[in-house]
Amino acid sequence: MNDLRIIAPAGPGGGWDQTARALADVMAASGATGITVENVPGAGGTVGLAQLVDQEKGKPNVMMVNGLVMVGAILTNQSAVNLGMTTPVARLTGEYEVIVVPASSEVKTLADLVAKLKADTGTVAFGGGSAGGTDHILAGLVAKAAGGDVTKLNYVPFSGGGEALAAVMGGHVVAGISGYSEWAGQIASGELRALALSAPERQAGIDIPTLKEQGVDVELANWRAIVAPPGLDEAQTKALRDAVDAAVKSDAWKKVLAEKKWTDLYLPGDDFGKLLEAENARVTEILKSVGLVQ
Amino acid sequence: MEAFGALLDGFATALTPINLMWSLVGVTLGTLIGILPGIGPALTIALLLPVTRTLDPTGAFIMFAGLYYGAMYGSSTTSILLNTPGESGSIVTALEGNQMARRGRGAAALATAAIGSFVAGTIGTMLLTFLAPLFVKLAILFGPAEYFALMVLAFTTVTTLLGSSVVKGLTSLMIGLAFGLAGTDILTGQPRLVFGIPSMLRGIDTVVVAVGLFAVGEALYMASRRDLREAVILPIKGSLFMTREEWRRSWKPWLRGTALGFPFGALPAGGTEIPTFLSYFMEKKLSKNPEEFGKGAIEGVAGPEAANNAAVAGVLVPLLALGLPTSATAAILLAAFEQYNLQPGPQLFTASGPLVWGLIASLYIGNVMLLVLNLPLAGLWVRLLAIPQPLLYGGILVFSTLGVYSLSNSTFDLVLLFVVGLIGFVMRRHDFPVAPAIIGLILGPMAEAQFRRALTISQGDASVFFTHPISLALLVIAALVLLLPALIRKLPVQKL
Amino acid sequence: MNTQRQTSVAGLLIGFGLVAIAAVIAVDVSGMRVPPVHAKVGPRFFPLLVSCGLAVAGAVTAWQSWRGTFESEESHPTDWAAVAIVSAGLILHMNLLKPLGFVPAAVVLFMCVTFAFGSRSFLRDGVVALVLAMTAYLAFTRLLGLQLPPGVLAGVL
Repeated sequence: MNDLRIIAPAGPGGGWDQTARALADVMAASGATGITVENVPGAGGTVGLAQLVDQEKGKPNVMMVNGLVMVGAILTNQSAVNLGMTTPVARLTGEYEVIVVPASSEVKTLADLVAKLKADTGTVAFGGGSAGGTDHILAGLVAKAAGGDVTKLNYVPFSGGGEALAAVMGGHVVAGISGYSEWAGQIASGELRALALSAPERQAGIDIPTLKEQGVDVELANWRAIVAPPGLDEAQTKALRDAVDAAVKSDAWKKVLAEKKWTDLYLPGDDFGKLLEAENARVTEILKSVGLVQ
Repeated sequence: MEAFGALLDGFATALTPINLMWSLVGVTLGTLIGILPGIGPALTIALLLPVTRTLDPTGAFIMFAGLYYGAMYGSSTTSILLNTPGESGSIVTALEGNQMARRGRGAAALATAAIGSFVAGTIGTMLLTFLAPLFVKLAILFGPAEYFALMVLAFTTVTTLLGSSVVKGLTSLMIGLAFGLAGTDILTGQPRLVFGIPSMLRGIDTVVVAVGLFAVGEALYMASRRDLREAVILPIKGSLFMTREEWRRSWKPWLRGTALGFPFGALPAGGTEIPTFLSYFMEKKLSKNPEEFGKGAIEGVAGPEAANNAAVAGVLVPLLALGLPTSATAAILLAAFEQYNLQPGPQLFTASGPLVWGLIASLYIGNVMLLVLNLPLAGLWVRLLAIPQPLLYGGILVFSTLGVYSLSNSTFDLVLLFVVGLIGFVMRRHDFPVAPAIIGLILGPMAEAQFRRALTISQGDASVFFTHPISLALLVIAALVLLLPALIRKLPVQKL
Repeated sequence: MNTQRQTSVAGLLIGFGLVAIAAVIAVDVSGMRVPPVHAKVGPRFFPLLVSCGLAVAGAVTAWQSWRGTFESEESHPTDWAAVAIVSAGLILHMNLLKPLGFVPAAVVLFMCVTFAFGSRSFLRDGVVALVLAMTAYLAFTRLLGLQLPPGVLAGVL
């Protein structure tokens, strides 16, 4: 597939940009020419989404990277366009979230945290990324599963990974939530105590129990995926899906996953479309109960 | 000393010809992007990351370090000569620096900026080498309540920038605060003052406002005043470099600026702008001739320039010691570490010692290289002022729009730039000082977010600002700064 | 300086403009949805504070202008034509950037500015503009991989 344009709905350097560039590199390595990455940053990716749905409609050589964060951003920004309007191509990768407390915290285990949430949800200040983002969604899901009052969830959004990390390490919040790899170093060095991972089962090389095995029935992956504009016919959709399928099954892609420590969550075509719907329903519900969405 | 020996090994790593070349590439590229508003070190390193994947890590980091410092140097050059700051850390430099340039002391202003940055960079790097663990402990003591108190203190610096009319100064501050309100509200994720425009959701970028008020506002104003357009600016009046008097007035501000800048850089939400405000404030208050401020006081260049460079060194403390990125550039550097499978944090010094010490050594080398490059060039740079004004302002606007467009590849930012430029023009025409607006824009959103974060954590209990000792101390200092001058004036003068 | 105090029309306009901005902020924020917050201080508090500040600043400015104590540089001769031409350059630039590309848009902007600043050496200015724009385009797209619109020069550069 030549002359493909991949939109990264964020600035250079972030996860979506890296995903777009890695995919472009892998496709170029297998002989495709003229593949470009275009950065359209802003508003949790909804600026890029608006461009994809409005201006790129019906164009068979455009794709856009997206992710769980965009699902939340669409809702909180009251965006006029949503992912249901796009042509789903595939979910590519993902990362699991980790819940931590500072090493000196009196909260020793997930059970301690659950007990606190159940007793008085408002006293547990969670620190994490942007409002309505993956970290916030997980905080809501955990509070709900723990039997707490989700409407009283005390979530403190920080701008930039460093600020949230500092707030957790300094004990300014009770617990912190982030993608695992971002805080892996501090967990390894013992400055942070990891209570649980949001994966469905234990992950190789990560010695942290899952939420599920500790009795909190929640799993959440911060997935990244790729979609195409609306208005494509079946042949055009199939061509894009096949191109991505070939790229994802190449050795070059496996090398990228290993290098970047991304978890392979490849889920192609219509199954990914169904996942989008399910995630949208789940995120809508939790954001409604924490009051971010009407 | 263990650190000292390791540092010497670091120099051995960094001083190979190939690494010196990377350092040179870094500082040159850094100076270039520093000149351009909008394109900063963070974006450049992000764009270079894929290119450097094949490079060995030591070379790549040496280049990035050079780039980081180089951007600061380049930015102060355009601040001083063209009144167009390239990075937000050198906005304050433009206030006195450009006045100096207009009086024919541009080369001296560039020199004091270069030497001050060198002094600050060197001391900062030494503090990083030997005292990193101490600053790390200090950094995480700061939570939202402490930050809010710090912002309150920083707001008091606005009093030195109000200009001749308090009403006009405060109006300018309010305009800056208003710009900072627009966009997605950080705490609730709700759109605020976006008027249904998706591009407004990300807020109005500091760069757009700074470039609009300074470069575009200035260009429109100069166009409106034929008398100023025809005035001849002498590039150099008196000696080319700093006079003995200028040295005497510079060295203390360099040291004070360093002392302010370094800890701020080490704070997770400190940044490079606030220490420059504080340094300017301090120099004006300590100066024996405060009336010179606003007309080209060299202290007002020396202090803030040292402060922003020391902050750059400070940023590396939490990054290397904790893996804690405290600025956009640091976050990208962290990504670069990860690209090479290096995990910053306490283990980094043990696991990848030679690389870390090589990086620290390369900071010293980058500083020397920039000084060596910039001092002789200062005489050349000021010749920029000899470019005919039509071409000079044509160039300024071409590069301003290029930089602003590159922020997010959006022509909407150019519309904003023009609107802000018109506001800047009106402000200049009617003697409103521009600097308070910049302070409002930078501090406003941070102050609001930290205030509300602190109250969220305490579930609405406002006493947190007074029960946390650091927060209380900062608030008391802020109150004293504001009230003391008035109280002293009210006291009857006692003759001894 | 005028010995007789005169009402400043520009000052009055600025004062009313500030009050108008204050009103826009207050109205927009009042219509904003506020999720339940623990802080007791929501996303409306600061904007309303700023709105009050702007309104007071605007009122004082208008009052000073009315009484003639508002100081400004209006006494200087103003070259409004030059301001209009620079503005036109900026407006043309933002509209031409995507359809025609960076280089032509930058050249148009540059020429407008030099003309406004009184230069009539069109050949010199044109050559400088073209060289500057081409160099900037090539340096930033090739060296840094920045995305600047190529426009009509797509495939040529």
